[in-house]
Amino acid sequence: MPETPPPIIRLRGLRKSYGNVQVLRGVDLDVPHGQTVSVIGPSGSGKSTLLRLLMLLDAPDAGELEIDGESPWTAEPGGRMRADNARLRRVRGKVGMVFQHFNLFPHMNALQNVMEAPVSVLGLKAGEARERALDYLDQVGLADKAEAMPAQLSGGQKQRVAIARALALQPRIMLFDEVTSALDPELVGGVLALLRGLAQRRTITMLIVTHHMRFAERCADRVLFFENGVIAEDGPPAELFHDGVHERTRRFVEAVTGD
Amino acid sequence: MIFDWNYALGILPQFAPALWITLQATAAGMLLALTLGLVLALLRRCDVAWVSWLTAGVIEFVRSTPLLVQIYFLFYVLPETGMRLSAFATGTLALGVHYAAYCAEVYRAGLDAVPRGQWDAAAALNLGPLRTLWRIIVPQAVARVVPALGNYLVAMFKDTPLLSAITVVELLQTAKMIGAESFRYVEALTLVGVFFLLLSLGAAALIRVVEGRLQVAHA
Ligand SMILES: Nc1ncnc2c1ncn2[C@@H]1O[C@H](COP(=O)(O)OP(=O)(O)OP(=O)(O)O)[C@@H](O)[C@H]1O
Ligand SMILES: [Mg+2]
Repeated sequence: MPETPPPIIRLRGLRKSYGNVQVLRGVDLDVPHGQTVSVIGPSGSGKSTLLRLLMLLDAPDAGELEIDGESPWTAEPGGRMRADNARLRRVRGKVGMVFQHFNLFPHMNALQNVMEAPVSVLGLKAGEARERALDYLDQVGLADKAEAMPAQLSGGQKQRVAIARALALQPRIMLFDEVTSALDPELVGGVLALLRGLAQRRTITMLIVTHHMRFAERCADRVLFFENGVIAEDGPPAELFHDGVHERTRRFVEAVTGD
Repeated sequence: MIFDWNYALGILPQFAPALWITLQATAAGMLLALTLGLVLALLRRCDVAWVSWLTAGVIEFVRSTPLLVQIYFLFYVLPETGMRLSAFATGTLALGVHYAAYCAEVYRAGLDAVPRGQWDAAAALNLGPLRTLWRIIVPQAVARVVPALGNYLVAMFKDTPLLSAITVVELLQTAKMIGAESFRYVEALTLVGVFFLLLSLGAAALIRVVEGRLQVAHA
C-alpha cells in the first residue's frame, strides 16, 4: 500500500465568531502538499476568515488547526486559545498571504517592500536580500518598477508586488484573498497567468479565494464551495461545476456568472 | 516714551547668549518630548492593562498641571533626591516631559490611524513585534502627525521664558536685566517679541518643508 504523506493543512471542527456572529461553524479540511485549491462562495460565508486563521492572524475559538504537522494553538483551561510564540512564528514562516487590498507598506518602494522580511526575518545580508527581491520582482514582471512607491503603481502592479513580497520568504503555502476582485478586468489575465505558472510548479500549496469562476475551474485541482461558515461542497472543478450531484455549487456559479 | 532705534541696535548683541540658550532649551526639550512622547504612546497601547492605565494616568497628570509648577517642582525637589542638575538642564527636562505628554496624545492618534491591514501584512511576513513597530507602524504614524508635532515645537519654544523663573538667563530674563540697568524696557522687550515672532515663523516654515518631504516620500 503506498503511503500517503500527511496533509500540509489539516482542519478539524474549526470555529470562529466575531462578537456574536458565527463566521466559521466547524470546518474540516485536509489539503495535501502541492495542491491548488480554489475557494468560492457567497459574500460573508467566511472565506477571508478562513485565510486569516490559516495565516495565524486570528485565533480560532475551537477546533484543530495543523499546518505541516504542527498546531500553533493550544486550548487553555478556560477555553481560550493560546499560542506558543516560537511555534507561531515558525508556522507563520511556512505560510504567505496576498491580501485583497494588497496592504503594501506605503512608505517603502517596491524593492524595499519585498526585501523587508528577507532581511529582518531570514537575516539575509542587504545585498543578498536585494538580489532575491529583484529576482522575485522580475518573476512577476516588475523588474523595472523596483524603485517605484506603491502610490505610483496600478492596482495590478501593486498586487504583483504583494505576490513577490510573499513569495520572497519561500513559503510552503500561499493564500490569496480575492486576487482579482480589486483589479480592472484587463489586468485580471496577467495575474491569473502568474498564478497558473505557480500552480504548475507543484512545490507550493495554494488556497485561492476568488469570484472568478473560470479561473477556479481551469487552474485549481480542487474547489471548495463555502456556505454559512462550512464547506458545503468539495471536489475537482469538473465535478463541482458540471455534474448533477453538486447542486448548490452549480446554482451559485450560475448566479454569479449570469449564465 | 519713544522707541529708540539706535539704542535697540546697540543692545542687540547682548541677546546673543540668551538666544543661544533659548534655542538649545527648545531643541533639547523637543528631542526629549518627541522620544519620550513616542515611548509613552506605545506604552499606552501596551496589552498589559496596568501598564497602559499607569501610562494614561501619568500623561493625564502631566497635561493637567501647569508647566510653571512642574518647573518649580523639579527645580526644588530634584536636588533633595540627590540629583544635581543645572537650572538649564532642570528647565529643559521640565519642558521635555511636559510636552512629551502632549506629543504622546498626538502619536496615539497617528498610531490609531495606521490601517489594520498594515499590522496584518507585517504579521503575515512574520516580522517580530519590535520590527513591526519600528519599520512599519511608527514611520507611517509619525508621517501623519508631523504638523501637529510641529505646532507643539512652536508652543514649547514660546514657553521657554518660563525658565527665567528658575534663574535661566534666556531672552526674557536678558530683557529684564537690560531694562533694570538702563530703565528702558520698551526696546529690550520689543526685541524679545521680534525674536519670538521671527523664530516661530522660521520654525513653521521648517515644519512645512519636513511635511512636504514626507509627502513626496509617500507619493
Ligand atoms: N474583524 C471582524 N469583526 C467583526 N466581524 C467580522 C470581522 N471579520 C469578519 N467579520 C464578519 O464575518 C463574516 C464573514 O466575513 P468574511 O470576510 O470571512 O467573509 P467572506 O466570505 O470573505 O466574504 P466576501 O466574499 O464578501 O469577502 C461577515 O459577516 C463579516 O461581517
Ligand atoms: Mg472576503
